[in-house]
Amino acid sequence: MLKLLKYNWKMNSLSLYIVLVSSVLLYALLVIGKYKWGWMDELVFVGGVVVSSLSSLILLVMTSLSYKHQLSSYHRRLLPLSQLEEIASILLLGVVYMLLAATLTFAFFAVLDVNFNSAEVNKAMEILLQPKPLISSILFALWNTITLLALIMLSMATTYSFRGKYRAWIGVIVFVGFSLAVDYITNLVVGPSYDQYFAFIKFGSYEADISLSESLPVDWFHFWSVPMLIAALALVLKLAVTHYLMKKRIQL
Amino acid sequence: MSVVLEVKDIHKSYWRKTALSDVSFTIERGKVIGLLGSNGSGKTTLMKLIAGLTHPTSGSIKVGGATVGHDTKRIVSYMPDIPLTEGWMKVKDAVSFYRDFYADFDHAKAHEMISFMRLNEQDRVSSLSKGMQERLQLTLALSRNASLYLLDEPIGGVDPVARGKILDALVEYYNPESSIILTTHLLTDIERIFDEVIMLKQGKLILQEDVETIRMKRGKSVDELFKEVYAEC
Amino acid sequence: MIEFDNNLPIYMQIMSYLKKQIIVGKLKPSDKIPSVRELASELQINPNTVQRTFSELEREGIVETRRGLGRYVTSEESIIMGIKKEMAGELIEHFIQGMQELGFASNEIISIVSDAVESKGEERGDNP
Repeated sequence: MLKLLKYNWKMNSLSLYIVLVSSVLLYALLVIGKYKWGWMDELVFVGGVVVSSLSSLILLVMTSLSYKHQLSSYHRRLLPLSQLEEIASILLLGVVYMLLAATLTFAFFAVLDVNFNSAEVNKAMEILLQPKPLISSILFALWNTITLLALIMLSMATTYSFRGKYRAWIGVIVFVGFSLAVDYITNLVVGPSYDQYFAFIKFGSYEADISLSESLPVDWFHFWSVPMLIAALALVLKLAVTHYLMKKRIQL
Repeated sequence: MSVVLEVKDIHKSYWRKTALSDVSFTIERGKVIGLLGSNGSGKTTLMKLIAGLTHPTSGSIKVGGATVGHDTKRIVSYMPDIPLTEGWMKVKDAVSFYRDFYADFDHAKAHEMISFMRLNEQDRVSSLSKGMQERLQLTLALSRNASLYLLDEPIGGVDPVARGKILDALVEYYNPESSIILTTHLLTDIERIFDEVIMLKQGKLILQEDVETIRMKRGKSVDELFKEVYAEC
Repeated sequence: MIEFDNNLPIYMQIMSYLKKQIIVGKLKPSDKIPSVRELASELQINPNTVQRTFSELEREGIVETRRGLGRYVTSEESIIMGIKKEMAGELIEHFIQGMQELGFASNEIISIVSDAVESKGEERGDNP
């Protein structure tokens, strides 16, 4: 599995380099913008979010393309590897890329000292940069990366299980359909007011107006909620089906 | 065990087209087998089935007693007519790739073959000429100490010098524990290296015979027999 | 080295070639012959075919295997003479058959051969 990771890494190394360097340059530009040229804080903040999202997106695409390569190249399909190894290797690749992007993002926001007009938001920002919330955010990002990648892999594996011009559409249907199904089931079980992020952490109360004072208890690692359980089951299902398709259905 | 490959009642159809039907044969260790047939006869499909890239519609294939899958990929070395390398690789990367994933990869043999084939480790694979790429493909495939080698058109689009080198390599690295199945259209030079030939026609196996027996009993070369058999194709 | 005819069994062609080498003296009695691998490599043919050739030659006593040392041409002169006679016999057989098909009678064949050998010998510088 690690050997496969090594070669996927090498294959993407130039692209990764470009993405990371560009991100650093853009972040640097934003920081300079704020401190030297007096750009508005909100603008710089949004700029940072854009750079972060874009780089994460590109890295996700790179990971997906590596998976596609794994599914459709002769020499990769000839390798004596178990499907579990292949899947794990791609997930690991995605996670490492995500951590790299996250590190840059964190560095940027840490360096940047943003002041918003709203005191609550400022407070929220401050809190989020502390250790526990930070780890929680990273775990959240990790979880999202893995579940999203698993869904992408499932869609691609489904696509490659078929032949013909329209097989890509089958993959798209699987992607959309599966997400909708999971949402639907979760709503059914938990009720209409659930939100992904707030399934991850639990506030003392679900008030529309988030007044974060020191005394409000926040459980940053509230993993044992029902929505999370459903998502975990969904993940297992995705991986199992992907595994099956890779073993039995994908042919070159 | 002396039987290295066992193909039993193989049927393979894609959608509405039948690629192979009712194909059965066995191959013993230490043999060089020519897999012959016109285009569309099912040769490449058969090789892909043995290599594990495709699954049969029905029937079974066993290599070294194990059904085709994860375990047989370790002992089967397939050289398709498509490059087995990635664009970013240099020759040495391609060699490392093989060494990393295949336990039976013989690094010393690879080195020997690379100089024998006049390849340069620092060259980018994408910059090699077609002939040099073929030599590299063959080097990678033969550097493994596999039980079964599947070579699809190893001397196909290659200049006569490379062809000679490849035939040399096949004889040089012959091993009585392994067998080689290769497909080709150019029979004259290569038929001397075959022990047996298997002929496929429109997905069916029509002949499996010892090559010297063909010469003795029919008084023909394999090349001539081929022309006879496939005259209407 | 050898021009192979793909229409005839290769192992027989190798055998003829090696027998000739022996008769002519290129391979002398008790000379070591190349190994299966060496010969297969040199001629670009299947090692099993070479093996078959050697087995046949061994069966006929022309070649012997010395344990741990390799294969050697027999030292028995009689066997070598035997091969010579056998190959000559084959040539003569073909020749006589061909001449008979052309319509020559036995005594005509003998005198034609006699004349031909003499002039061939003069060409080669055999007879003064």
